[in-house]
Amino acid sequence: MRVKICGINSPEALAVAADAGADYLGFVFFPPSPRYLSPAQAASLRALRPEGPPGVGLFVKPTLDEVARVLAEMRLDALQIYGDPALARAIRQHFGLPVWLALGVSAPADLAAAERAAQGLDGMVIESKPPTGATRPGGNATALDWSLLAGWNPPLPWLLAGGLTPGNVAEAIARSGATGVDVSSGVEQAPGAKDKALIRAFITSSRNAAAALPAEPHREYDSADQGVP
Amino acid sequence: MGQPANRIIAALDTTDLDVAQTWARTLGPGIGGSGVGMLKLGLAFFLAQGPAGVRALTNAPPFAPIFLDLKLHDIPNTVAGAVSAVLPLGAAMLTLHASGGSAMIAAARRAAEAAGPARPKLLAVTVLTSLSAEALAETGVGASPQAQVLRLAKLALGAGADGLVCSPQEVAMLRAEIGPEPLLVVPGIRPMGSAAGDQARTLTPREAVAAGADWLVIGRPITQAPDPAAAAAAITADLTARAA
Repeated sequence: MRVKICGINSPEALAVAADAGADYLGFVFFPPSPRYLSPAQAASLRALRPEGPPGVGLFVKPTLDEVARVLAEMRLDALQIYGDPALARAIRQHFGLPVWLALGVSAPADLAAAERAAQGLDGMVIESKPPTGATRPGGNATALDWSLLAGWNPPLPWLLAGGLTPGNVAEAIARSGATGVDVSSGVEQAPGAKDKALIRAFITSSRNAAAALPAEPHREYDSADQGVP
Repeated sequence: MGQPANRIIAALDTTDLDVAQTWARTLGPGIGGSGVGMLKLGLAFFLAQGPAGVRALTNAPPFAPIFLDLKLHDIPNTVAGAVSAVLPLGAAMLTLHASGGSAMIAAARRAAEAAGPARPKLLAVTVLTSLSAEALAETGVGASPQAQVLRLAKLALGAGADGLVCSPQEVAMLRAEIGPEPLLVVPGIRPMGSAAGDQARTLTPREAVAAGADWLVIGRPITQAPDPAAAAAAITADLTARAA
């Protein structure tokens, strides 16, 4: 189970997420977001834990220059892109970094479309489609019909996002079969204000839920071998 | 201890309940006693399927006796608790580590006695066969593996173990040292004709029995054979021919 804590915007949030075992830390480079960080702010946060979990930069329809300005200040291990798949591929080509494409899903047909859109990229962040009239992309705390994703086995790794909280992530994992989850507002007291206890609870709940899934396929082994080379 | 009708213990080395059930149906003592004498379930199966997985095998035909190879090793209270916890499963044999010490083994024996005469026989594992002399030395044991095996064997039997699990190379030595009564259960047996391992380190079923083994644990040569039941029957026939 991979857990991404997105919208890291304080030293406290970064420390809690890293210490609680987050697999990825997400930094938001989209100015309208309450979690927005300037490249310099993100770089100074990242510098607090240079050996910490991989950092993922979130960009919404960015220009190559915008991404380049961030990468000039700090290392990112992956780029999470909202926007046209062709733009995502161009960014991947240009910077040579893994690119995850954020994709909205609300019906079974969207899954095949998502696979096509993400061809040639490195991962997908699957969210419920933004509600009509939303000014910000992303899940905006709307929970997807998780069972839509059950049994989906795309060729790329994917994270389940959108509307996840410590209280519902276990059910979301059980219903969707997701092997990775992404959370931002679900671990906040107020927009942009990360909560330590919620971050910890989210990670623990995700890991426990994953443990209840049929994990590894059953194996055969050899107990009667002598084991001496 | 009476001589078992069939000395073969088939190791059901899988974590998959369906596979284990198929092997059990195929290999267990069937009508006419054609199957093996016992089925071994290990720690991996037990952790994957739990006591319910064990019951799924014991409560269905062919109702084969079960050897629970859990290799318990903890403080005496905990091991006693673990033995008590598995008593309802009705296993015929249960393993524990002799290196847990005499108090641990004695505690296990006291706990097992609660099941009365049908209690599981306690088999002590001495030195894991995967430990070379160098690996053993790394753990702080300066004695040779063979000397340590003997030391732990005597400790375990003195504290209440019913027998020992030992490698083919140790059977003759242990039988000579411990006398006829304690059980010797021997894994690492390679039937004649099965894929040859290091022949110098193993024995055929006949050789193991001649050296003093009561039970032979055989895994892959049976379960991975094209026809597991036939493979088990061939080994049985070979052993029986010797006795006749």
